[in-house]
Amino acid sequence: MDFQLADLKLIAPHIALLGTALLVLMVEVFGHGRRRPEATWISLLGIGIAAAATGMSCHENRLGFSGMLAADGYSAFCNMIILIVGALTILVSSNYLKDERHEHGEYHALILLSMTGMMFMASATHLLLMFLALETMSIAIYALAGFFRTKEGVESCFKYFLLGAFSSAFMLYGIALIYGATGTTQIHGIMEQFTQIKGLASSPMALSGIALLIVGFAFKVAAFPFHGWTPDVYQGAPTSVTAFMATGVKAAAFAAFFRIFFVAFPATSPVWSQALWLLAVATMTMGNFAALAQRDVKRMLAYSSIAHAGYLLVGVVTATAAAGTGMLFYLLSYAFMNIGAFACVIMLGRRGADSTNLDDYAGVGFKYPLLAAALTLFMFSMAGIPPTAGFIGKFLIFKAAIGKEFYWLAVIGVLNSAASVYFYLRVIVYMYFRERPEAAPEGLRSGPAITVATVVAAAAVLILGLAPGFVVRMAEAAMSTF
Amino acid sequence: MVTTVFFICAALAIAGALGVVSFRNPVHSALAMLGTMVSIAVIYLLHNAEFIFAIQLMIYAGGVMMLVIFVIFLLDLRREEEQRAKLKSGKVIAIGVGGLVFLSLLIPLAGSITGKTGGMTEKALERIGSVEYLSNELFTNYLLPFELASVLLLVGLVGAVALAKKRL
Repeated sequence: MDFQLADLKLIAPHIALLGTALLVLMVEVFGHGRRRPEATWISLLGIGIAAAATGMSCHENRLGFSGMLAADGYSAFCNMIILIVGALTILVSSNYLKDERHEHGEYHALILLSMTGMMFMASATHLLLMFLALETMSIAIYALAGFFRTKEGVESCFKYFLLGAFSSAFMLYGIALIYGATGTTQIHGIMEQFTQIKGLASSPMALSGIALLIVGFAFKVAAFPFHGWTPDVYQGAPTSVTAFMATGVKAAAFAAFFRIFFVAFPATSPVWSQALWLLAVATMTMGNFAALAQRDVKRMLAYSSIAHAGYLLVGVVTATAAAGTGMLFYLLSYAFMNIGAFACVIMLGRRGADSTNLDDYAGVGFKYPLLAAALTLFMFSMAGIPPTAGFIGKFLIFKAAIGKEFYWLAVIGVLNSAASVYFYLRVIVYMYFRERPEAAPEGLRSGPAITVATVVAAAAVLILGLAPGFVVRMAEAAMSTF
Repeated sequence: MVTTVFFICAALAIAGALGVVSFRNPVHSALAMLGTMVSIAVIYLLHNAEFIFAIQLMIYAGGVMMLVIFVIFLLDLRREEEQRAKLKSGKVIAIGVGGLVFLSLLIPLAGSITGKTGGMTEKALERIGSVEYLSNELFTNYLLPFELASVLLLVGLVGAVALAKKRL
């Protein structure tokens, strides 16, 4: 099949983001020597255009570029999650970068380029394109993790880079083995080969390929036992980048993970769903129990992010349309609650000193009531307490698991979320029931942009929790386009 | 004849790879890597992939190796040379697990391969020509990954500058 001009419409959102990234870089070059607040506004405008383009291309519902990528409801929903993550991250970063004296256009350009990679990942229907998109996303984030060039930041960048390159190699070898077994890397083609060739579903080559693919994805979503990098990287990276990593990378990786396993490998699902079952249980249990022991809020959120990857893995194990709906809803609500929580962490920090120890949160509740209220809301949502978005997300995923008779998985998931309440509530206890020390620094690292982001995130967490119907129906419609 | 050359090259490639990790002098490691790359290039040639063979020699054996050797000369790696590796329990476990993974990855290659054989046989390639076929695929079916690869290079460039430049 040849290239058609009409196919460009399918990647209009991606092109819009890429163009904006180049524009931001150009503005940086020609506006030499001045502090440039424009980068924020240009980036937001570009994200807005990409969102509009996504809205226009979501009814196309077809494959383009010789079956390379799909513009369907599923990719449109994932694109929207990624765009929301990007917009919130840029809003949250605005004051933070200024305060840390790192207000450079390259930061915004790297965020936008990384988002381009994420969106290609979410819509890729070809393993090769998916891999290139994954690398585009990852390399931008490696650089972002070390952007402040602090000792911890550089360590986090280097650790993430080395381990990430290692996991990419595993994934690539997996793709090669799948290609060897099926003769194609297009996911619909792979599915056809599995139905046509008898015995392919039990061939060691295909199964090893799938196993290595799982290793690659498990690394990216920080699932046990490939989670070792997460705490150090999340703690060392700039807080805004941590928020971006925890939500954006997770959304993109889970979007690709689910699409590939749902479309290409249903024939072997009894095998891989067992492996993923174990992975999901180990991931959420390990994440939650390690988070119990943390006294650093950023590190605690890193372990909580591992636990959330475990809940999301339940959706991939179940691999039904209902589970996909739950996963999409969860990724969206996780974006709001996690970036909101990190925004609060940023506001409580100082230049050069993030002050993320639990003791720094003592007495915040009465000193800054609005901020404390927002952080309380985000913590409730992460713990999955109604009426917040986090509760609905968990409910949808566990309901789907029960629907496919994964009873134990759902039970373990619910027990895990009960255990997680302890460390989320501990932050709230420190904020409201501890005396604020005399020496505590005055003032917040706040500004209009970060306030808007926090208010939007808080409102979204509440709205998704109180009236989830509209978004759930959208996610269902997105899943029906497969 | 072809099989003999293949096995010689494969053995050389593996020996080179082992050399990369076991030599203490980084320059020796780099030279061992060169050996691996050239042997792999010859294996490509045995599979009638002349274009990939040329690219492998030019880009990897030529360009990438030059970069690696430059970096080795720029960095002072003598201290690394003096250190002796100690065998700690963690390392033993790592070697054990790594070996186990390696062995399990050999299973799919040793077992009967149920997969498809490709359409690009020697005769077909002679008819179409390997460069023509590759470029045709690259600029029609694989246009999007090809373009995305250039975005990937841009990201690497911007990221490297952001990390390495003294003052942005």
